[in-house]
Amino acid sequence: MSVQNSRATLAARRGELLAELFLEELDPVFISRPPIKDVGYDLLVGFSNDKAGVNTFSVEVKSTEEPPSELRFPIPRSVFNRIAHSNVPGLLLVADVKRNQLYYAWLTSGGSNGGGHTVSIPVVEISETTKKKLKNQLRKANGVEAAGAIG
Amino acid sequence: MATGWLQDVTGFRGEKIVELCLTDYAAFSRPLFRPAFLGDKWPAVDFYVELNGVPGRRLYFLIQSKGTTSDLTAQVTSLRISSTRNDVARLLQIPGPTYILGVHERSRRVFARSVHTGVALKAITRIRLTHELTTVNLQRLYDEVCDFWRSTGHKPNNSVFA
Repeated sequence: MSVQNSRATLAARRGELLAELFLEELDPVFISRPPIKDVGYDLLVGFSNDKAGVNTFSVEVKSTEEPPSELRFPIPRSVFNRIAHSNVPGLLLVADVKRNQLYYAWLTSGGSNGGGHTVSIPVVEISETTKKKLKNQLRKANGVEAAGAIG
Repeated sequence: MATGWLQDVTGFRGEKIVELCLTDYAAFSRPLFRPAFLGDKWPAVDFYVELNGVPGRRLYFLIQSKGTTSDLTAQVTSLRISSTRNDVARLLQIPGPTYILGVHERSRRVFARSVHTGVALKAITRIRLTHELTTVNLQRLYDEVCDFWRSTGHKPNNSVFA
């Protein structure tokens, strides 16, 4: 394994850990990882809502070693399309693994512009305040609408 | 078929926090350590940890982690953990540096206590807060393990299977 691969692997692992710990703190019903890589997302999470149902979301985790420039993070258009045009609302979690800071964004079909190979996604830095806000969104009676309204 | 199932990733919160702590490199150009979780079935030891950046050698130490949700108020000077005499005895039987890490799960803070020759054979129930694995103490831990391996043989000199 080359040094570069090893560093990328480490960054990905730290991103995974930061994301899982964060999601666990939001009191989910479940957090699951798909058994194979090409399912289209990294995690599937469920949160109970006030109608006794469960809101399910797919989560894409991206790792970086720098804070997102101007609070935007580029992701491949193929990844964006796969998640944004899915029937399951998609949440992007960006982990700055050097500074232990997380950012999030909803991936919705309205959030794309231009036709390049990447889509620049506006992200929100996760603080105690934004964490609470996100938790409320995830638990709204209809999580699909909650996610759609954000984009 | 088992490989087709979704895998539950909740749990092992303490272990995740330990791994993040040991690979933290906010103050370094790269992580000082490379931990490998041995799973919850392995007795006494939870992590095998290698030191990065030692030329020609893969030095290591071993860790048992103990998660706690006990209060960490401004008044306390130590973290309460619940290790047993047997935990300490097993760690003392293993050659090489061994540590118990206390993990305060709510705050994600990690504290270290060495289990080395001379440590009393009884349960360790407290770890001083000054032993928190901050950036400074991560570097101290690294140096301490390096120093230990420098003072002892790296490999056997011979073998019947040579």
